[in-house]
Amino acid sequence: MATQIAPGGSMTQRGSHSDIGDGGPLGGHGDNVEHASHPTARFYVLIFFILLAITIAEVFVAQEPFLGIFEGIGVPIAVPLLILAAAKFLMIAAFYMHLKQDSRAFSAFLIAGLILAIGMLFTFGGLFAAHSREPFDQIAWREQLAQNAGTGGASGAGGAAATTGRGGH
Amino acid sequence: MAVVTHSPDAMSERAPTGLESLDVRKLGMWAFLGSECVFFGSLLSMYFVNRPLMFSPALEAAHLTPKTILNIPFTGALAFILLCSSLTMVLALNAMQQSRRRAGSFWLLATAFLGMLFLGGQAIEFMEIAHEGITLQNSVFGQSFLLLTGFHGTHVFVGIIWLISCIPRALRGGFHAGNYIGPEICGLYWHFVDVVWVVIFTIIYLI
Repeated sequence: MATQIAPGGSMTQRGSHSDIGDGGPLGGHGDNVEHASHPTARFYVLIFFILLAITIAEVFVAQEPFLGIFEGIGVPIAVPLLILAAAKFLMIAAFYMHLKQDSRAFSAFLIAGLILAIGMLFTFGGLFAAHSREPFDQIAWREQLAQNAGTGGASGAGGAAATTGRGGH
Repeated sequence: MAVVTHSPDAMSERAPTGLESLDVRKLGMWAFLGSECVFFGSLLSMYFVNRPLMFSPALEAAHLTPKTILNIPFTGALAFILLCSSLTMVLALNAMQQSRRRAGSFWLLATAFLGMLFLGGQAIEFMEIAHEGITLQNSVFGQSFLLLTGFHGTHVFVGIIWLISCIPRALRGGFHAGNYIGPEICGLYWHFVDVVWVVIFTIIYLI
């Protein structure tokens, strides 16, 4: 007999119903079975329509005129889109994947993976962004410093730049 | 980690931590999904790192940037199809938890069908991109996009095979209120595939 953990930690046992009569695809008349910890089919359909509304909102937000509105108020379009995507992610994880009802141990695995994935995103983004810049030209930088400092700084810095140029590589 | 024991003496010797009654199969699936987060995170990192190279002036002039190539309404329809498949999957599990064999099998079949519809749409999109002259070899966008969506499509394909393999047993009444761990784990995988598409659709197509 399969058992499940209710959120409070107590074990709940499913009924051993051998009656497999159908009450229609959505089971509108099959609710005589005790399923205190499981949402109904209607609830899942409601979640679906909320997810659908968020998807439609995402598509509209990414197009004009909403695109222009967000750009006009100085908000990058990525912000509202990522918020909507995060909302969908959380709803699917909580209700369709039953994380809300299940043990927190399951959530821990997902959260750990997400933390690693987001960390990797930022790490590689920063790493490759740094390497994509032009290499630092130390000689040109010293010459610029010398020009800014005036004639007296220019001769000293020029000598230093020559020394650096010889020994720099 | 989780130790399943049926000995009353063993049970009385150790204080219960609450983890003993977790199903290790479900725990294993969640551990796998955590690793899949890292996998798709690495593919998304690759896409982000290459993204600046996809918007060069030459590509903008030739209308070969992601904004001009990608068909958002069509992909929005694919996102809708995958969302519907998530609903049918959770309805299948709900039916099996109530021992409704026929309804459970129907919703499993519907989920597999919608998954195949999604893959067909992806194939059409890949053909359109190839028609634009973009392939894995000749374009940074092609390489990043096709690898990312190709791996996601492979995951969808594996999910469809899994769903189809569950249907005969569901029809025979193998899944019921006393045993629905099979479709439950399959459902976790399928919902994760949908969640990944939510992220891909937002980041690649919309942003």
